[in-house]
Parts: sequence; structure tokens; C-alpha cells
Amino acid sequence: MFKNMRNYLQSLFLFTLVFLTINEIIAESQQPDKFKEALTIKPLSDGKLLTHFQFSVKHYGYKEGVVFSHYNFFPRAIGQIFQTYNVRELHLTFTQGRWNYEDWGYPFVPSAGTGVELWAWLWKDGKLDENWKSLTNALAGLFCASLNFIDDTITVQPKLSFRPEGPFNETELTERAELRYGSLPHENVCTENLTPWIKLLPCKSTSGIASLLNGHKLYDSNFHSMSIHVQPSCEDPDCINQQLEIIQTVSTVIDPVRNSGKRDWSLNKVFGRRLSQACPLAEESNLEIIIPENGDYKIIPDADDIIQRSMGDTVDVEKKIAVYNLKKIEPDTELSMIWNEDQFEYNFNPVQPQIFAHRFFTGYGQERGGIKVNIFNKSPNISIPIIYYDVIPWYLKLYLHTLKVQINGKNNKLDADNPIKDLYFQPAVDRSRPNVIEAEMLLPPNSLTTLSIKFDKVFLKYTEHPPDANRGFDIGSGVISTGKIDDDFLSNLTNMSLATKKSLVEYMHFSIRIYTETLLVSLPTPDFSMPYNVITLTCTVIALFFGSMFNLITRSFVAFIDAGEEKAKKKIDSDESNVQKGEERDFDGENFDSDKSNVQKEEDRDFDREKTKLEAEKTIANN
Amino acid sequence: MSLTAIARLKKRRLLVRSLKKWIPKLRYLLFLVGVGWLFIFPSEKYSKYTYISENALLPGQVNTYYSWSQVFDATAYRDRIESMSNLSNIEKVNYIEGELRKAGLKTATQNFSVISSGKVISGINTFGVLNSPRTDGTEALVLSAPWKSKDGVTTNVNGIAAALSIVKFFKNYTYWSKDIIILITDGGEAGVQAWLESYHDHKQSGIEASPLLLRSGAIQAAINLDFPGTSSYKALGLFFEGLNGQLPNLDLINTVIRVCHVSNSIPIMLHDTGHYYTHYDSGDYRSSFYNLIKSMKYQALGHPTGSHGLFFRYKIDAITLYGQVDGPGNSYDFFEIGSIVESTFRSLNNLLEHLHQSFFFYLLPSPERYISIGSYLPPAILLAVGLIFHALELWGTTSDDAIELISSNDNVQSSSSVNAPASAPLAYLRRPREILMPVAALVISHFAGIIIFFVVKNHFELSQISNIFGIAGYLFTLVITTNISTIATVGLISAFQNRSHKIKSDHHNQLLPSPDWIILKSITLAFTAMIISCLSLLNFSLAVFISIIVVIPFSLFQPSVHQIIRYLELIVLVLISPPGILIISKTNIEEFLRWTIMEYELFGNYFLPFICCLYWPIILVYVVIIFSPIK
Repeated sequence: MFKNMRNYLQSLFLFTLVFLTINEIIAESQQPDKFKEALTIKPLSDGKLLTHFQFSVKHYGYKEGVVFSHYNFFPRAIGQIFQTYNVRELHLTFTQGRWNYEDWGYPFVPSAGTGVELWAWLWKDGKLDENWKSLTNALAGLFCASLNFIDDTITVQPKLSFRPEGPFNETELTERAELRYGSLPHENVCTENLTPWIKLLPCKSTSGIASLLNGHKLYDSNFHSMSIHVQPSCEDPDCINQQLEIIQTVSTVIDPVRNSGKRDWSLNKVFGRRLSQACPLAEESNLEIIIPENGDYKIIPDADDIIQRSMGDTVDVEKKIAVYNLKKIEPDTELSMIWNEDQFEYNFNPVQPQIFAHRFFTGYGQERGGIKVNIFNKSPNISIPIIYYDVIPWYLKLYLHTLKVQINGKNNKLDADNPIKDLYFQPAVDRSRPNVIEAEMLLPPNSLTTLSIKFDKVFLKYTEHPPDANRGFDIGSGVISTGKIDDDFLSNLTNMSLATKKSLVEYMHFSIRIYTETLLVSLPTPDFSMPYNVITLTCTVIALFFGSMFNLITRSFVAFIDAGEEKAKKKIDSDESNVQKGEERDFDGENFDSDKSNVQKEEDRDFDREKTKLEAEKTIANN
Repeated sequence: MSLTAIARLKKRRLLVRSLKKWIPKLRYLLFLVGVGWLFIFPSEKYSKYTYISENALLPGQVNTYYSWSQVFDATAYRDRIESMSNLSNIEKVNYIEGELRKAGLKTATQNFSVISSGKVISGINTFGVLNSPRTDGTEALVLSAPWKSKDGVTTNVNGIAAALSIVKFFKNYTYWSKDIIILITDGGEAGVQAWLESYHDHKQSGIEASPLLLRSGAIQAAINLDFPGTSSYKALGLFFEGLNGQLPNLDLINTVIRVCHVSNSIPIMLHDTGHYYTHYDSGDYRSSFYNLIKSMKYQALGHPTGSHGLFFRYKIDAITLYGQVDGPGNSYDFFEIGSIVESTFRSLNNLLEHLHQSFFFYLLPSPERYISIGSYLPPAILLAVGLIFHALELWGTTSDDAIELISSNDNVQSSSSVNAPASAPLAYLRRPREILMPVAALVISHFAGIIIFFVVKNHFELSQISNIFGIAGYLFTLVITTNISTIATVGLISAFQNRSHKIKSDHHNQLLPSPDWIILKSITLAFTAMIISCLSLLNFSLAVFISIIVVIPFSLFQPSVHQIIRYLELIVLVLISPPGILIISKTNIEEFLRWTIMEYELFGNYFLPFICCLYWPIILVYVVIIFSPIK
């Protein structure tokens, strides 16, 4: 008994020792995951308020192909998907509404055009397309979205746009990985997508800034965008050790002016909740307010710190930022900003960003049309390189020869003036892949560049129309990629003009993406109610006639003859009875049992005899 | 040939004969039935109550929040706009743009100018876009108000003020599923056309307009406000006929009417006829008749009855709400206008797809009763069928049944054809049909029609020349066109006469071909019937008016031995020719030409080309027919 006990203890001790050693080894090789959260609030020039939540988890010791040995803060759901389908980088964005570039500038992270956008770099492992398909399905399940509808007819492989956001080596990238892109412009985003998104956070929405994520308020806004970015990042300058980083963001634009006519806001008004304490798992938990440059306002309470930083939205202008450290803040703090004004006056001339674009359909009718993009460069003296990317579904048949570029409304004949430096065009294949236009362009200073192309609309098969209200077909946003214009860039640009062969793509980090409007196209539509009418009509005809016809055909008619009375009657009209007899004989052969038919026949014979007699009498009488 | 076959032939011949005996009567009967049928239209028994076909619209189901503070805004706008009457266009536009901008809309202006019918039309359109929050902005609704009311003189003060206050009010709500565009147009309907062309980036007319840099999505529907002056109104007039007789979806009209009745019980009026209707009021025969005539007149002329009429080409359903100042009952003001527009926009906002459910082809005898295409089309077809029967009868006459023609129409046929070979084995004579010459006549007269069209189209350039001679411009055009007509007809008549002489000398021993006029008349009748039946689908009203004018004279007229009858026929034809009609109806020809030419050039109204290139030539052919030799 005691011996047994000792053995047991020994083995337990040994086991614990081994376990601890293993743990030690893991701990040595790997730092624990790091979690940061931040909420940035920015008053926009047209009185609206941008709130931007950003949560990031860094998983250390990331190596390609190395399986996650354990999950700490990094969400397991994403990690497994990432690993199973051999993903290098993953970007998923859900957006509702339009980002108004002219009034709001650029967003902090490139918020995608309306709908859902998914793009991923996948390792080439021989079943890449299968992996992509599985990835879309897995994410569809995870986020309750129709991502599984991203099939071959929607999937694109952009050549110039959508470079990896994490570190990458150009040659390694082209040899070993491929890019896939898909978007669903008419996917509505709502709380059923937000709930699984919140579940990925280490503290869920129980504490920290995530507790402010209130679906009722978030979706009662002018713009809403929710995203997940999973990408490697460097631990050291030489990028030998890499981390895997997941960045989750939610941006909303709220309009305080709509209700009160004033720009005043408070956290309670905006989110309907008060701030609780920071998430205990977070390494950093900050709330930042970007302070407007002018205006008479006050922010209550005072900030812990005021720093200066350059934000992603404007070019080399450092902004004053009020920072609140949530680790130190009192629970239930109400943060508010009050403007000293009776009524907000809309700014007549907002400061426009350098590059913005609008896209629209031209022409009318259901037969043909055109698509036009107006791209503005508001920079007074710098030519800006951009990449224009547009995916047009196969049911619009583009004609490449109609592709035209105009600058400030004038056609450019000279090649040197042509703003298109490089053009990649993938023609569509019916029912299997879309049209893709990618153009590398250099926009002249202070200009309006117009790209236009014409198309024919395809008459779809009736089963290809979605089985809901025929509102039309949505065409996803065009995307303009451009970068920050700084000194580095300018020197590169001069180099580039020397060696024009080299692509812009290699010189520039295209960190800014501008999404154009989504468009609605109405295709020629068959009269869907017609088959219904035909069915109704046919059914009526069948109901009316089939019953009676069927009845007539299948029912057997038997003449009933009453010996006494009937005989006298039939004597008069012999013709008719002959016919009747013939019919009855036909029936005899098929339907009647022999007994019955014999009786019948005998009767008939009697009748015949009678008839001849009668006729003889008649002739005598006549004579 | 077997006996049965001969019997069948005999039977057929009997049938043809009896048909032929009846056709002349039948075609007048068809005419009478057709015209009589038209007079049943206004009857309450013939039309049905309208109904909302698109379930999503739910008209009048929402609470409206347009209230006194908005009325207060509107009144302020009204006073300001009224005080601006002496200011320049640019100052007015700046004011509107400023107000829209203050309300938080994106705004833009558009300059345009065009030279049409000898006048320069120019102006500045102002518009603003209310981006609906949280949507993708692929769809839009338009609320438009022209600077000038439909009479072209009065300023649409209340209309613009109402539109401004409504849009400012709309900004406060997040339930909009579509962007809302407010459009204040200048320069009459040309401004609307300029804006629509630029919006769809599709240049159609000669309008020079600056391109639009502010846009929204595909426009689903448009409401145009025309509330002239600053007074209050008694009734709401609905104008719905568009360019070339196109109509908006009936659901749109029904929605507005239902909203008016349910929420505010404002009397409704079709156009500005002065016949008021309350809810479920069908009106009497007289008022329905009057409404139909007015509506059909607008449709036949293809004249858009307001700014809304130009939207239809772009597949946008639109309607004009017009404020009628005089009338019985209570008056209404901004409050009611605002609620009606708000409620209508809320209904349109519900739409999941383009308006498509209800009718696009209908006639409205009263606001809440309609006659669908299935009910109104038969009379037009009956009128055309009469002509076709006549044409077929004549076609038969030209060949097979010559003998019967001789026996029955002795007075018309000269006795020369009695000498036709008596040895004919059958009772059928096959005369050669020579259709080349009649077809040529038809083609030549249409060619003349095209020349006339170009002359009329350039009327205002020609009137410069006529000024040199010191005569009225339209007289000059009239002289040229009548000259072209006369040259064409006289040339053709003489050609036919020469031909008949030649034929007589050529064929003096053989069977004579049938007279040219019969073939010509037959072809012309068939052609007219084709025009009428095709037109009845595109523009029912025009088809009906044309057939009423044309059917009886065309059936009756043929060359006569009596010169007097020929000249009487000529007079009638001149009277029913386009210039004749203009003179009889005492229209101001100069004005008439001005708007028809302008609408053709700017909007593509096909009334003028139709009249010049199709209607006028048929009349010319008929002149040729009555003056061609009988034999």
C-alpha cells in the first residue's frame, strides 16, 4: 500500500518536473502574446465625429509553417484558419456606408468600399485555390457573412494593387505566394457580424474600450467599418524574428449635429455606455482625442498627456493628441467635448485631401452603357503616382478599344502626356471570371483625370437572377492605391523618371487606398411573372378539361335495354340502334366478362330478328 | 377537277362575294363602333378603381413630422426668394446653394446654354445631394422645383421654398435608404434636360452644359413641385404626361393621390381642369370626358406637361404637383405641401426595386379611375382594321374579279373594258397589276415630306430671309412647304395621266391593267392602317386623333367624273393637311412652330417629324389619287 503510494508520488513528481521543463523551454523560445487597445476620437471638419477602435495582439516567434503550439491572447478561431489554409496575410473588412473623402480626409486604416472585402496572400502549396475556397467558407461561418459567395466569378488576382502590408521580400513573394481578392458590394453589415468579431478579443466586451462597442449606437451612424488584419511583422530591423499580428478595428462616423445642431459629444451620448476600466490583459490601453486646430471648445476631464504625432490621414502634419491612460482612469468616467457655439455652421470650403475619386455610370437603358471615373489630384505642384484598380463583373462586356483617358476634359494624344504608364487588363470569361483593369498612372498636378470605358449589358439566364427583389446588380468599388508624398518619395520619383522601365510599385509603399462608390446596374430583365401566368393558365385549362375528358375516356357506357318498352322504341329508329350495337360489341371484346356479353348478344340477335320482321311488314304496308 | 373541289370553289366564291357586298358597310360600321367606343371611355362603368400594385409603397402609412417649425423655415425662404426677384441669376443661385450648404448638403451648380428656335436659352441649375447615412448611395430620389412655374412667367416661389425646407428637414433622419437630390432648374424644361444629360453623361441635344462633378446613384423617381406665387392653394393638380406621350408608372400617381386623401384630404385635380375630386370620387361623365380629352391632347402632341416629363427617357418615373390657387373649400399651405412630399418620399424610400408593378399604359378619366391598355386599345385597332379591309377589297378588285367590277360599277368603269375577251373560260379575269408606279408615287411623296420637314425645322433660319422681303416668317415657310407639296403632287398627277394614255395605246387589244389609282389607294390605305396600328401602341392618343381625321375621307375619296366633286375632295384634303388644321384651329402658327421645333431639337419630341414625314405625305398621295385618271 505504502509502496504503491510512493511509486505514485514518484511518478507524479517526475511528470511535474518534465512538464515544468517543457514549459520552461516554451517560455524561453517565446515571449507571451502582447495585447494593446486604443480608441481614437477625431472631430471631422463637417461636424461629424470619427471613432476608431483598434485592438492588436502580437504572437511572438512566428515562423512560416510552424504550427501554433498554444494559444494565449491570439484568437484560436483565426489561428486555426490561418494555419490550416496556409495563409500568409489576411485582410477582411466589413463596411456599411460611404467614406466621404472630401470632407473627412483619409481614414486611419484604409477602410474598404461598401460591403465586404477579403484579400489574402496564400502560400503556394499545390492546392492554393482549394485553400482560398475553404478560407472563404470558414470565414463565412465564423462571421455569419455570405463570404462563401466569393467564387471564381468574383475572385481576382490583382497584379499591382494590394501588396502585403507586413514585411516581404519581392522575389520570395512572387515565387512562393499568391494573392486572392474578392468583394461583395451588397453585403449588409450588422450585429450578427459584430458579435463573433467581439468574441475574438481577449477581454470580449466585458472591460476596456471594447465595452463601448454597443451595436445599437454603432449602426445608427453615417459610416461603419469593421476589419480584421492578420499579418506578420518584424521583431528586429533585419526581420530575422517575426511576429504574427492580428489587428482588429472598428471605425464609425457619428453625426452629433443631426440631433442637436451642435458638435458637442460625450462618450455616453455616442455609445450609450460609460467607460469601464482597462482590459487587465492589455499591455497598453489608451483613449486618444485628436485635438482640432481651431475652434473654441473644451474637453472634460483634462488629458493625462498631450503628445504630437503624425496621423495617417494627412501629409507630414503633426497633430496634437490628448491621451487618456485607461489603466489609471476612474471607473465610470464620462468624457465629453463641448464647443462654445449656438449652432454648427457647415464649412463651405473643406480642406480636401490630395487624391479622391468618383465613379459613375454613363448612358441609359438596359442595352449598353459606360463607366467613368473622375480622379482628382488637388496637389498644387506635385505629380502623384497612383494605381487604379477596378473589377467589373462578366455580365458587363467591356470594350477595351473604348478605354479613354482625359485630363481636365481634354483628350491626350501624345504618348508622353498619357497619364497611364502601365495597364493591365484581364478580359472577362462568361460565367467564370470578371474583367479586371489595373492602371498605373501619374496624375498631373491640380488636375482632373477621367477614365472611361463602354460596355454592353448581357441578357442573363433567368436562373442567374438572384431570387429576391430585382433591384439591380451591385458593382464593387474601384480602388486607388497611393502613398504618402514625402522627400523619400520625391527623390525616388526623379530616379524613376531616369529609369522608366522600373515600376512605381517597387518604389512606393502604397499605404493609402481610396475606394470609389459602388454602383447599381440594371440588366435587361425577363418578365418573371410570365412563367407564373403560363402556369396559372395551363393549370386552369387542365383543371377544366382534363377532369371531364378523363371521365369520358375511362368510363364505359353500357346501353340499358328494358325488354318490353325499349323494343318498341328501337323499332322505329333502326339506324341509331345499329350504331349503338356496334359500339357495344367493341366493348364486349375488351371489358365485359363472357357471361354478360353472351346475354347481350342473345338479346341483340332477338332484336335483329324482330327488326327484319318489322321491315317486311313495312314494305308490305307501303305497297 | 373533281366535283367536290368545284363545289368548294363555288362556296368560296359565294363567301367572297357576300363579303365584298358587306365590306363597304362593314368598314363604316367599324368606324362607327370605333368612334362610339371612344365615347364610352369617360363612363364610370368602363373604368376601374386604381389600386396600389407595389406592396412596398404603403402610401400614407407613416406619421409625418413636417411641422410648424419647418413651415416657419419655408416662410422665411419664401420671403427671401420673393425679395430676390430683381436680383441676377447668379445671386439667386448663390443664395440657394448657400442655404443648401448650411443645411449640410453637398451642392453644385451647372451652367448651360443652347440656341434653339432662334432664341438663346441659358441658365444655371442648382442642386444638392443629401447623402443618406449608412447606405452605399447607389440609388437616389429627386425633388425638383423649376424657377418659373408652368406658365413661364410666375416665379415658383412657394415650390422652391417648400423644397428647401423639406430637404433641410429630411437631413435630420437616418431612415433614408436612397440619396435625395434637390434640383432647382433654370431656363424652363431646357434646364432639366441639360441636367439629366449631364447626370447620365449622355449628350443628346445641342445643349452646352458644364459637366457635373457631384452625383449620386441611379435615380429611381422624381417629384417636381410647381407652386407658383406666394398665396395659399385650394387644390392639388397632377401633371403626369411626359415627352412623346410617355407616362409614369401608375403606382406613383396612386401613391401621391392616396397620400393627399388619407393624410390631408386635399382635393385632387388632373391637370388644371377645374374638376376637383375627393377620395373615391369618380366624377360625372362630362368632367371625365374633359379630363380624357385634355390628357389625350397632351399625349398626342408629345408635349411634356412639366419638368417631370423629361425624366421618362431615363427610365425615371416622375410627376409634377401643381398648386391650384382658385377653387372651393379650404385652402392649404406649406404644412400640407410638406406633409404630402414627406409621406410620398417615405413611400418611395420603401421601394426595393424600380417601380415596375403597375401600369405604364393607361388613361385616367378621373384621379382614382383608370382604363388599362387592354380596354382602350380596341377602338384604335378597329379604326385601322376598317382601312385594311378597304385596302384588301381594292387589291382584290384590281385583278381577279374584273367582270364583277364591270357589272356592279358600270358608272365608274368606262365601257371599253366590256370588250374584254368573251372567250374567258372562267368567271375570273386576271388583269396585270402594275404596282411600280403607285409605290413610286408613295415614295416620292414621302421624300417630299422629308424635304418639308427640313424646311420647317429650319423655319427660324428661313424667317431671317423672309424678314428681308418683309413678310411674316411663318407665311414664308408656309409658301415653301405648299410649293413643295404642289410640285410633288402636280408632277405625280401628270405622270399618271401620261401613263394612262400610254397604257391605252399599248394595250388596245389585250386585257387592260387595273387603274393605277385603285392600286395606289389600296397601298396608301394599307400604309395608313399600318401607321395607325403601330402608333396606337406607342402613342394611343395621336393614333386616335389621326384616324378620326383621316378614316372617313380616305374611305370615301376616289377620282370622280365630276370635276366639282374632285375639287370638293381637294378642299377637304387641304383642310385636313397640317397647315389646314393649323389655320382652322386658329393656332398662333409662329408660337406653335417655336415650341414644336424647340421640343424636337432639345428633347427629341417626334411630333414634328411624324407630321411632316408621315402624315403630310399621305395627304399628298390622296391629292394625287383624286386627280388621277379614272381609267
